[in-house]
Amino acid sequence: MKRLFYSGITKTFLAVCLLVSSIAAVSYGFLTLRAPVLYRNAESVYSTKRFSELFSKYVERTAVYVRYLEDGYSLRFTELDPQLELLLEGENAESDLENALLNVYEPSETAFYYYHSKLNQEPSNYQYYVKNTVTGKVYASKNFENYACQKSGSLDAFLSSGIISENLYLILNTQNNRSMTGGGHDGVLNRANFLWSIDFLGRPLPEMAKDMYYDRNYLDASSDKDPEKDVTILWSVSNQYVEITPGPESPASAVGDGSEEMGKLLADNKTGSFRLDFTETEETEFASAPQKDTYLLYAFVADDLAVDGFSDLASNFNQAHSDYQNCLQYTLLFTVLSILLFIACHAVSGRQKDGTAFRLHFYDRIFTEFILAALAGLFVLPYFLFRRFRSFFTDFITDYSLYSKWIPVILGGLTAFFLLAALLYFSLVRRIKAGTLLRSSILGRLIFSPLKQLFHLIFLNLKEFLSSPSSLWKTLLQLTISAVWFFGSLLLLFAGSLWGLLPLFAGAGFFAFLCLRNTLDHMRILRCTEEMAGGNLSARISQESMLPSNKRLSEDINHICDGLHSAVEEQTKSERMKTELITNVSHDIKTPLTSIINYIELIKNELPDEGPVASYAETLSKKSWRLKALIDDLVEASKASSGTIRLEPIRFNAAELLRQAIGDFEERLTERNLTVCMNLPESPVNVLADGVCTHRIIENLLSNVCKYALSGTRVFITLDLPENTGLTLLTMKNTSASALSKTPEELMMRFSRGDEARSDEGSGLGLSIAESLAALQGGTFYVETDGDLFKAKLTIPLAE
Amino acid sequence: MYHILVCDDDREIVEAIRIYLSGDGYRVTSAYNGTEALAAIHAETPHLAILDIMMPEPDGLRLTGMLREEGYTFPILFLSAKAEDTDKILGLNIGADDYITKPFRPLELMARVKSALRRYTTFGNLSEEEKAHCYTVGGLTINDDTKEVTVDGEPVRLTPTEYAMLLLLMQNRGRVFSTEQLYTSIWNEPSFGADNIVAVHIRHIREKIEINPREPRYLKVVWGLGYKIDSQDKSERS
Repeated sequence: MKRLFYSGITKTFLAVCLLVSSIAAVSYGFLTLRAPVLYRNAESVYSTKRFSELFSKYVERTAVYVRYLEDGYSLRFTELDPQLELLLEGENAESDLENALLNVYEPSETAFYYYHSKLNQEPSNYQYYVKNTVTGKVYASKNFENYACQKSGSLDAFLSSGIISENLYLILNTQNNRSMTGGGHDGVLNRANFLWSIDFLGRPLPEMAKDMYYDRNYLDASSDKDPEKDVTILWSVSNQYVEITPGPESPASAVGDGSEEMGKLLADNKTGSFRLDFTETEETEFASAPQKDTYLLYAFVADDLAVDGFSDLASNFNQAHSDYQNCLQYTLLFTVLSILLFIACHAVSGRQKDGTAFRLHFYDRIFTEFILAALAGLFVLPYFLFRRFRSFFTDFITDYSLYSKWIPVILGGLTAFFLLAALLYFSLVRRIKAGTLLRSSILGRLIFSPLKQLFHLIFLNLKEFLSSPSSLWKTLLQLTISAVWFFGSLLLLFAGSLWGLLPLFAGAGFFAFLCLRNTLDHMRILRCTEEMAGGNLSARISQESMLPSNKRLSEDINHICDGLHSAVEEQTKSERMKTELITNVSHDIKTPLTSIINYIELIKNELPDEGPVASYAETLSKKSWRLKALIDDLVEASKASSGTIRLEPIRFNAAELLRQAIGDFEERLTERNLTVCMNLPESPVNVLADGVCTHRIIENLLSNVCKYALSGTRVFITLDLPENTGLTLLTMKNTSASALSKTPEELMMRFSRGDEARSDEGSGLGLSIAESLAALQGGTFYVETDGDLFKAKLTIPLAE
Repeated sequence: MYHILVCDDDREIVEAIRIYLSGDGYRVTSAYNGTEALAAIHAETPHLAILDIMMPEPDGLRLTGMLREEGYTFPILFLSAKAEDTDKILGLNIGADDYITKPFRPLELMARVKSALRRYTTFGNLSEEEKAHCYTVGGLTINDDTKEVTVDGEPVRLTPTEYAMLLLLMQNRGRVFSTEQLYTSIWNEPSFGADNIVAVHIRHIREKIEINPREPRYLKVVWGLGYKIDSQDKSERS
């Protein structure tokens, strides 16, 4: 399970998921947030206030305009009020001015004209259709019927098709002159909200809110009808319609669903007294008798009639609104998913398959600062891009046509952005996990680790310092004196007296003097210790005129050297004594041995040449001579290993020595039927060694060859000059008569022989002596075995 | 009949030597310490003395010194368990004629005694004209006129090559000849190295002129350099 969790596949999968999820979250987030960004002053997203306000205003204007028409106003050419002129020109300033104008306006020709021009601009996307359900009189935009027919075939079909999908509504309480448009409670026209709105409109207003609501009562402001008069405005957008029939009781309301009902209402030319299915509204009495002033108002914004801000606003609103509604859930989903994946990626990032160790990639060794800078750059870059291409982004937000064109680029950019960001970020995460964040940073290398070392140094020194109170007090005293001296001098100086300079300079001079003295002492100590380290144990540091602390140091060093010196002396002495002992013992053994040998000879002389006793005597004679050889070898081995042999290195020709030695052995070799194959360099091989010693080594080797080599074989003797070693290499190879059962190391040991059973010849010291002697003259000696092949290798230092 | 003094603190060794010497027809006086030996010499001057070095007062070295100071010229042979080169040199320098290390082969001792006695008794018997073409090193004499080689008066038979080699070495006493030089001189043709024929010949010569070829008195090996003829007491390490 763990292995699966930390496996590369899981990691890759998680990373890809994170990437996709992040891009989705951002994309959906953009679409969702686009609406509030677009309608920046929106109080909530649903209201998308600008459009809704504008539309509501137009609906209100329509209502007022219809009232004027009902009251009998008609369009006549009149001189325009300059203020109105101004109003009609721009849309922006309109709202405030209109409010100001209309608040003080008496019903007049001018006002009528204003509304007329506002609503019947040619061409306009704003379309309205108002029908007095009592009289059957219709007031509509100029081309409304044409447009409706074009769209849906007939007016009725159009009205019943409900192409407008906005949930905007206008509710007017003609009783108390209060109105409410979409965006009241929670922005949507549903039953609950509608009832709340009705209820709200019927409530007495808090003082503070009064202005806000009264301002909106254009309708009532323009009406001088008595408040008792029933005015029912039925206005619908989208598939909802509302009928309000205020009565003396409480505001009654009904809400219906579907343009079908609406269409039916319009088609039947009924008076709108019908009943809906809501039980809560059962008490609502829709008068069975046709009511006097009941209007059906139908308004919408078309998007293809004219090029004006309204249509753009409307289509963007539609798009943004649907985006918002469709994308919000995905935004949330992907955001949550991204966060979860992000956390999961943290858990697996940098882990080995077994989940223990942390693995760093090559780019995890790039300096941390670079990564941080790149990461920061990555986040700053979009800002600069936005700054640079601000107009493009504005267009992009508002214009849907740009989407399809730019989406691949944007998606590619987002992918690259997230990929890079993830790489950099998780590199940092891995560093933190592996604890190399500081170490891999320039700052860490340049500052933190030296600081750490410094801290270590100070801490350790301080610890050391505190553990020896005497030096602590001494140093504290020195520091105090220096500080007092220095600050005293400074005080004097600041007090205006140049005399302060004198102690300052004196102090500095004293300090310099101490430093110089210290350095000199150190140089002396260093020189002497170097000499001691080089092997001269009789060297001593003279403590004359040293600083006290250095004196102590050098005293200690001298003591150490004394100890070492005597130890070495002791060692040498004991080695010598050992050799001496062996030599003395050998003398004492040799005297009785002399008698033994002599008397055996005498016995042999007395005995006949043949017979068992003669052979016994012969054996005795042989063994006593062997005893002598053993003693001699023992003494020599002891001397060679203790180094008490006096060597006289001279320059001689190693090849010549080989020829001499082999010449000496000629007969013994011939006797054993051994052929010597020599391979010597043409030119003399001049070595620097002791001739007798070297001969002794070679003699031992040749003697071994005579003893142990297989009869009838060849003995190879070569002399090489390996390059750059300053040595000559003598190799002697022979085939052993018996199997070589021992390792070279065992063969080299004292009293070791190639074949333990063959004890009649040799002391077993030959190779050991050879090794010691070779080492004494600065060369090496070692043997190698390869099956039955016995190889002895001797190096001798060359003369320059 | 030669009179020989044998002195050693080990009575068995003295006895053994006495038996051998008597067997060869010498008259032997035994002594077991320096004082006894000195007394015996004062009583009757021997033709030769065999002295141990390590014996009670005075030891062999001091005794020899005293005897040489007193003007005795008879050969003295040291017999010692000390086999160091330094001991040998010291002994020879103090006035001994030979140095034999214990344990020794009885026959070798007899040979050395004989040799020393011959040298002692026949030394300087050659005529002046004989000396003109004679080369002498210690007891080794080579007469180029008669082509005779004698060791302590005893003639030695050498092959022509051996003779030529020995003559060259004798004529240049003390000079070291390398094998190559010897080869070119004797065979009159250049040597091509890697040849140990000279060493073999040298060994043969040594076997003929030396009592113990392993411890040559005249024909010395200088390892790695060559060979030379030199008398015993001066050629050893100093």
